[in-house]
Amino acid sequence: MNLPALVGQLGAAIPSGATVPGANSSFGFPLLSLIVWLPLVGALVILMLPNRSENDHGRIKNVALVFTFIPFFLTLIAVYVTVFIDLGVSYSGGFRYEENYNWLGVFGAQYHVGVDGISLPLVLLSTLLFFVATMASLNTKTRVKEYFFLLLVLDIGVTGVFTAMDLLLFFIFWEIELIPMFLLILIWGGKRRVYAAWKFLLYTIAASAALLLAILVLYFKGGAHTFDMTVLSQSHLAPALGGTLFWLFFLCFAIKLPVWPLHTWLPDAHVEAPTAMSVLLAGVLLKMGGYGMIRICVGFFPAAAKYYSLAILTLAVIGILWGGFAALAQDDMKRMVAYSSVSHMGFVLLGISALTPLALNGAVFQLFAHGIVTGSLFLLVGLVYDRAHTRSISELGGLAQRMPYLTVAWVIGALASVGLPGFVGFVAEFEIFLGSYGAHHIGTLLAVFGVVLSAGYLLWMLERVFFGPLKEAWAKLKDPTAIELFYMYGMLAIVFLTGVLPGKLTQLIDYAIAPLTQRLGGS
Amino acid sequence: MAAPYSLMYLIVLLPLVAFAVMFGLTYENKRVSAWLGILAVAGADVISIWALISELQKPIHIQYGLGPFSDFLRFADVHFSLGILADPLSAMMVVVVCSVSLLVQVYSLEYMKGEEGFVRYYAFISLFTFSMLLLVLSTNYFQTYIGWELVGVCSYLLIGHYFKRPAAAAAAKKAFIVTRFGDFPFFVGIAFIFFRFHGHMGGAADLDFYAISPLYHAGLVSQGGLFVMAMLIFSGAVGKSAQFPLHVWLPDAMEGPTPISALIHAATMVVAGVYLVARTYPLFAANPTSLVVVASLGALTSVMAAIWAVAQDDIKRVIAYSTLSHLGLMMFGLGVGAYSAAMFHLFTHAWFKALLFLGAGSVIHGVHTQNIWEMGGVGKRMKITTWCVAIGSFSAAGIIPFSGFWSKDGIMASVFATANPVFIAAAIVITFFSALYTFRLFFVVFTGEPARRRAFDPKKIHESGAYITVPLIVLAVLAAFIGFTGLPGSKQGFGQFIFFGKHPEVEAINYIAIGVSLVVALVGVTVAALFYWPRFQRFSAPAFNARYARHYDWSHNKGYFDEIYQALFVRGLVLRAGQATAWFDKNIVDYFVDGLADGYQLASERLRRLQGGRVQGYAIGLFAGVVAIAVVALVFGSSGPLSVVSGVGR
Repeated sequence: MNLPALVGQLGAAIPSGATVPGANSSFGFPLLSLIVWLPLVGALVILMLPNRSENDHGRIKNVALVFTFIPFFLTLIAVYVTVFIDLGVSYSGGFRYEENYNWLGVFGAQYHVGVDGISLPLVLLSTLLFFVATMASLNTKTRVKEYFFLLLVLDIGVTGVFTAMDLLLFFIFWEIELIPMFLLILIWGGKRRVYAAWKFLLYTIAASAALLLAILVLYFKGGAHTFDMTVLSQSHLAPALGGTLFWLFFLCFAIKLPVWPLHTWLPDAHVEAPTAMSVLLAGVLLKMGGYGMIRICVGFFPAAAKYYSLAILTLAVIGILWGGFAALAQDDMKRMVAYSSVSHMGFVLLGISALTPLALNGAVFQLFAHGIVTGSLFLLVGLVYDRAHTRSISELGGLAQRMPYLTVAWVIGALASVGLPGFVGFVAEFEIFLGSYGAHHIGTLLAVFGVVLSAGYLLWMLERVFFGPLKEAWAKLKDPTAIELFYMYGMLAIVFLTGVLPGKLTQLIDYAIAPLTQRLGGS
Repeated sequence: MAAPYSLMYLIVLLPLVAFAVMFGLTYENKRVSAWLGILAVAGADVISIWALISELQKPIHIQYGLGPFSDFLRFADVHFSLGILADPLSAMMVVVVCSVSLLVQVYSLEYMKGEEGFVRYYAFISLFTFSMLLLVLSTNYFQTYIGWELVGVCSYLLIGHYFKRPAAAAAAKKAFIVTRFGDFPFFVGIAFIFFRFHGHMGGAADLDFYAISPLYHAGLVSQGGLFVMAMLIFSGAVGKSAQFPLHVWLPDAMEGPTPISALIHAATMVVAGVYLVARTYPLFAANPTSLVVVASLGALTSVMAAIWAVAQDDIKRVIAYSTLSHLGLMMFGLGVGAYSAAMFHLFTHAWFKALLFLGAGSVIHGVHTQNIWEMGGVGKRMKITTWCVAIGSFSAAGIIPFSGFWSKDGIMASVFATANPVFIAAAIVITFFSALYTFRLFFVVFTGEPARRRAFDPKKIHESGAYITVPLIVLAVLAAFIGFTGLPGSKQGFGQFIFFGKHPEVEAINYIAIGVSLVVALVGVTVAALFYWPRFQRFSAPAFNARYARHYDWSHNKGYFDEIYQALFVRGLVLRAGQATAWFDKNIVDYFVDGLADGYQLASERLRRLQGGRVQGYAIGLFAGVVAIAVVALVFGSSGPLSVVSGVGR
């Protein structure tokens, strides 16, 4: 590719930009755009509100609540229609709620959004968690205006990533997410927030650089000269180019997921971030990595994914065991949950490495499951910390006697994280392990040992923090307030319901996974 | 499909509803909650007995999906289902589970009266009963695993009932984690089975027991593969049924309330492992080597536990080791091919062991201690309890004509039939020690004079109330007479109802096995009497123990397995590994990351100097840039080594 040719092509593209195939193909209700962009409206409203008194703070919080609730509600409608009405009737795969507008036609870039079985559960997850995170932030006292402004901007980036069907759009949403989270940790974080925030930023920028490079190489060398992800997912690249691109994309998503040994930003960022941000980091931001791996690494380069399956498996197993063992050694509850995330996201990678329909289905389901379960765990850590002002497992003890409702929630959350049947995590783990066994016998055996470890660190923590005699220092702790109980048990209810009736959701996911695995078989 | 089979889903549903109502609506009302649990399980029990009677009249295999859960996961070509399975084996098991649960709940009305967390206790019993029934009525490995994990967690919750006591909290955690060590290979085993047989299910749901059983012989898996498969599944049974080397959790589980020990840790959950092996017996039968392992491990567990039981001082622990020993015996039986006898022993054991635990509970209720040396003379004050425990003891020790004798005799006959001297010796040792520890307990607790204890008036000991004694009497009747349902040589006995493979011929009675086991058991009782029954005492137990102090200590400390595991695995391996990974992250990975960041900072400071405004500097830079571009062009250019990445050559 030389420069004159590129310029010539640009020139040729300009007049025909409006007639790019697929452009403006949807004139329906812009549901996804509303879900993605409504938080921006909220953010702008907040910018205009005064920020002086308690009253003003209340108003800002209400605006944030409204503008995170509406996207959640709209997503619920979309999920309800898709899963309970259309699934298997009028819907059997492909993207829904598509919007395709001409955007940067010269480059072949479109404003193209849509959801399928892989992204819809994640959009539901993120809109839900943003609403919950807003509720969990209601007692914020410093710099209220900036906090909720950034939270809403973060929302745009995350939901955008899950809905974008255009790679350039995907990249832009990916970048939007970065700075708000950096600032949210830097300003509202704990004692070591500066270190943690910069560490998060450095890692994420490295990821972005890899992503940008990968996108550019794909655009210029891939031959299609398009950013359209549906087109790109059908292209056949030379093995060497495919392999290189696979690893470039993988590097970016591996930092986000995170994959061992790129994981050390995670414990620091999670521990220092305020509760709501830990919930979002673990619940949603990590999922961007897993989503990218499935959508792009596997979706675009199935041959490479298959070829490097063993390498990915190795990383997955190391991550699962590493995270599990490290979690055992932690004294900080939040750090323990953070390391458990490293372990549990290893299950996602295991599913991806196996590439069977069942394992990939499990990987997507685990993204959803882990988001909701670990999100709940971070909320629960926050509720302990708010009252005791410490997260040290060895300092706490006997809390069950003072906080029965919180203890019940903790036991449920911990058991869900352990992968107990009846909760959503079990379904995901079951699918992943059964699906991956055929591809990797020994690898799966080692990975399943991670389940023993998670029982180890979680139940040991429960024993030391909640059971046994009550330590005197905690004799005056009080159970959570009504609103805290509401979102806490609300989350756990979802953990339970999706764990007991996962059938429809897995069917929805399968509609998106099936074409992927068909390509794997064919290539 | 007619009743009662069409109603069997209610067996599972009723306890679940009771659990939900207790936690959701009646949590504040103790009376209503408790009776709700009792009524629910009574309803389930009625249907169970009805189903058992139908099966007895006409043995049949029926299975159907459990409403919306029959398609728990169904997409592409996978189908995981929950269902109800009715056949003689499951019909027998549901009756055991529902009946023991019912009796235990009635018993708990008095035993747990006034205890903190009364409704929580009843709610968890209902949840446990539901989970156990889900497991027992399972149609496939998937459902079995679900029930398996759920009973495990109920056990965790109920062992930890007195969670303020550190010992109880620790025991609960230990039980859960140790059994998980068995569960994870079990899980892998299920994955293995799925991998091999998926695609050969012929319309049945994946992992279906009945659909898979002919496939083991279909040549889809090699003998080596079958052995691995069987061992992986067996690992789950080893954890749940507390077989060596995962036996360490069961004695500690006695920290839970005594009725829980009777229900979960004697009659139902701990036999789930035995039930699993029985349910998947076609797999084990397809690979005879695996059965040898089952038999050996069962025998080893049984022998060791029987020896340890003789040196315990806590009434519940003695019975716990007795349970371990009997569970080992059941495995032993399955291993030597005594399928019917092992199931029969499971059946009789449920009654007499529940009886022993509940009887022990009644004694504890009366004397407020669990140490047998602080008891003594209870017999005169608690007549009903004493007679009931006596029947239970005769049964457990294997004395004719009590139920334990008949079931144990079936296993003995098969062990003798193997003509394996090690197995026969093991069986004799088990029989001897069973009788010895059972009657050691009985004589120490119930005969002689009350032990003197501070602030305790032995005259205040009195018989427990009706809620405790009536379940005891019911269980005593069962423990005494249920054995006659499986008399050797009978044409309509247990062995003609629950069996493996073809319908069995009526077997000839093995009088040698009967004679040997009876004589050995009677010797055991006699030895116990000579040591511990004051009226017949000829030897001093303390003197004997002191003389063989090393042996006694080994037995008293259960072979030091807890200490070894703690040092080797918990402290040595797991925690070390945890600390090592955490250290590595902090000092190696982060060292590089932070170093990289520092390097960045340093580099940017240096780079700033480049823009010093000196023209010569810029000129050098310009020249260096040209050179760099040239190098890049050479390397990445059309003929360069990395032309693929840049694609220039295309």
